[in-house]
Amino acid sequence: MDIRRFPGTRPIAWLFFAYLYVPILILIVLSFNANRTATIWTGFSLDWYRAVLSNNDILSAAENSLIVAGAATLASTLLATLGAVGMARRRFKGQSAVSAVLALPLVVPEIVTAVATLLFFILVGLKLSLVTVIIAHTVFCIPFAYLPIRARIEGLDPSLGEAAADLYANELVAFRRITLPLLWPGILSGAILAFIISLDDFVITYFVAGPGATTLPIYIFGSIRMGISPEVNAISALMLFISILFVSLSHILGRVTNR
Amino acid sequence: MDSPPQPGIHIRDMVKVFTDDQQGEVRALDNVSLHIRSNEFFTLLGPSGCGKTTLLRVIAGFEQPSQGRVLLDDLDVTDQAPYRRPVNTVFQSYALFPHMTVAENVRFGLEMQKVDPAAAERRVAEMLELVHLTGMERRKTGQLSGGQQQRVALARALAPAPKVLLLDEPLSALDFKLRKGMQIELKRLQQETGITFVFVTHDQEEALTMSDRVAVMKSGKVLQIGTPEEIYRHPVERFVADFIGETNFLPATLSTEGHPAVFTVGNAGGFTVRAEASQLDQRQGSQVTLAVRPERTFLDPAGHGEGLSGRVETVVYFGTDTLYHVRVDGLEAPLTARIQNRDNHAPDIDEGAEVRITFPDDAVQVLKD
Ligand SMILES: Nc1ncnc2c1ncn2[C@@H]1O[C@H](COP(=O)(O)OP(=O)(O)OP(=O)(O)O)[C@@H](O)[C@H]1O
Ligand SMILES: [Mg+2]
Repeated sequence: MDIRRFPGTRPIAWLFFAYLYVPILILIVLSFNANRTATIWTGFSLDWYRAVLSNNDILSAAENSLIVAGAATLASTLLATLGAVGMARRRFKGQSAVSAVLALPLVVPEIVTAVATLLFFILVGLKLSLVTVIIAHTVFCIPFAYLPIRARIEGLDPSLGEAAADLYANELVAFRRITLPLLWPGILSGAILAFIISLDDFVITYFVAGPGATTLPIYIFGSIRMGISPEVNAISALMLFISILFVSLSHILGRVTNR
Repeated sequence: MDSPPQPGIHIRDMVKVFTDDQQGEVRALDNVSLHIRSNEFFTLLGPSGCGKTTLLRVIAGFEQPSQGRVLLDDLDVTDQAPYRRPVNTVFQSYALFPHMTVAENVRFGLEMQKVDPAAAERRVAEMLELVHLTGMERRKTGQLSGGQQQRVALARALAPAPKVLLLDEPLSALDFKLRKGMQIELKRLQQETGITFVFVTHDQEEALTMSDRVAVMKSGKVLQIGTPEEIYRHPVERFVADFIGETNFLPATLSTEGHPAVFTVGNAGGFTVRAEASQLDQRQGSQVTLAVRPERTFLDPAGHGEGLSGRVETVVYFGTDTLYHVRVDGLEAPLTARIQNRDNHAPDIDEGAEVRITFPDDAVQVLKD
């Protein structure tokens, strides 16, 4: 029997979506509120966006966030690509164990990772700064970047690489001319996913950020302790916008190249 | 084995062992030695899992043998990387590069060999003409039919003018009609280009009609190598006789040694045939198996004279000829006789008829089982 025919499926689905999206909708609406008290609507205004874009603390936090996300995305995607290619290249003993370990960070509670990372930095004597944030982000972004790339590799015909070798392409050329172009969509989705995850991270960043390494989520958390301000609504709405933009981009890329 | 060097491919004492998690060790190639001559259409024939693909992959260099050598025109290439061997492959899955056009696919090998672009362009056009794909240059490979993809794969592998072309069941994905057409085209291409073709198939008819020589394989071993006619007329083992065409197997007793030896066919009231059994070391009175093709098995409806007596079980009309399944006392399986129809009429033998079965001396092959 088709599950869609069960009575009450439709209202439950609506309830589910409302639960997910109404709070976000409220946040977006209130970010355009003219009133300083965030919860009372008095009219439409772009004041808070203007305030956000002229607040130096916010701008420097945004800059930090972009630097961290950019660097972590680059590093984690590179490592994830190498890892995925290596894993696909040949079967070896304990391969499934390695696969499991690679995906493990996805299920380890973030707070545990955060404490462990901090402990590690202290043990090796690394001073907390923007660099430690980048290192930590790189690490937890790897599985997110790895999964789409791995999925893409698994969909590839393994004889393509052999065909390239058969036609006189050495390993490096075969990788550049055949493997890389075919993996590209997977690499891009992996990178976009890593970027969003990094941009959004709070817990780990909070633990390993040094002075002057405030990122947007940390800034928002700090300012919210003084009450929800319309400015915070505006930043959050902007971050949401960026995330949606990237997810759509990844989706469209997947469509175009998967024809 | 140190024969004077001859051009072509030499496979010497080849062993390939795979270690598999479930099955343990698999001997995919078990001491294979063979010589494929230059410019010949050589076919590897055998049932699934007998090691045909593995042998091809060893020649191409995708698989490193556990033991043995591969020589290409006297040059030992066993340790050479695939991209250094003057050998090209038509893959069973075609393995066309999906992000490239038809022309780019065909040009790839030429580019890798650093052929001058203008010359490469001409060569691509020439190859596409050869496989009747002119005008398809700019298509993406995903937009082609199975037969067209197959021809792109062929053009791509032929473009760099390799010494040897390896083809792994290239026709298996095509429908009957296309397959027949491609068989003729492949044969023509091989004759026109003079390239050595090593062709893998498990279709015995395909092997017989296309090849200069055939190697029949079973469980990693080569059982027999010969021209299609040699293999069909003189199979050395029961497996070969059974795998290639239809065959009747009959028990017989050696009654007089010699060249040819005399055998008594059947258990009771049999008749005698003379056949060469030089490959066997047999004594008088020993049991052997005789193989006789259905088209050389004769039925005598008169029901007397020499021969095995039997009763016709089924009659199957095939247009060009008629098949008779005849039950013979003391034999497990019925014998098959294939009799050519005259003017498309079936001979006048009905189901249930009592017949005598005979065959000429030269139709008999003595098998070592
Ligand atoms: N990579 C591998 N790992 C383990 N076993 C393998 C591997 N490749 C082949 N084999 C085994 O080696 C044997 C020969 O395989 P091969 O692919 O050469 O057979 P084939 O004659 O080409 O069969 P088919 O007609 O089905 O293609 C089989 O038993 C197969 O299971
Ligand atoms: Mg095979």
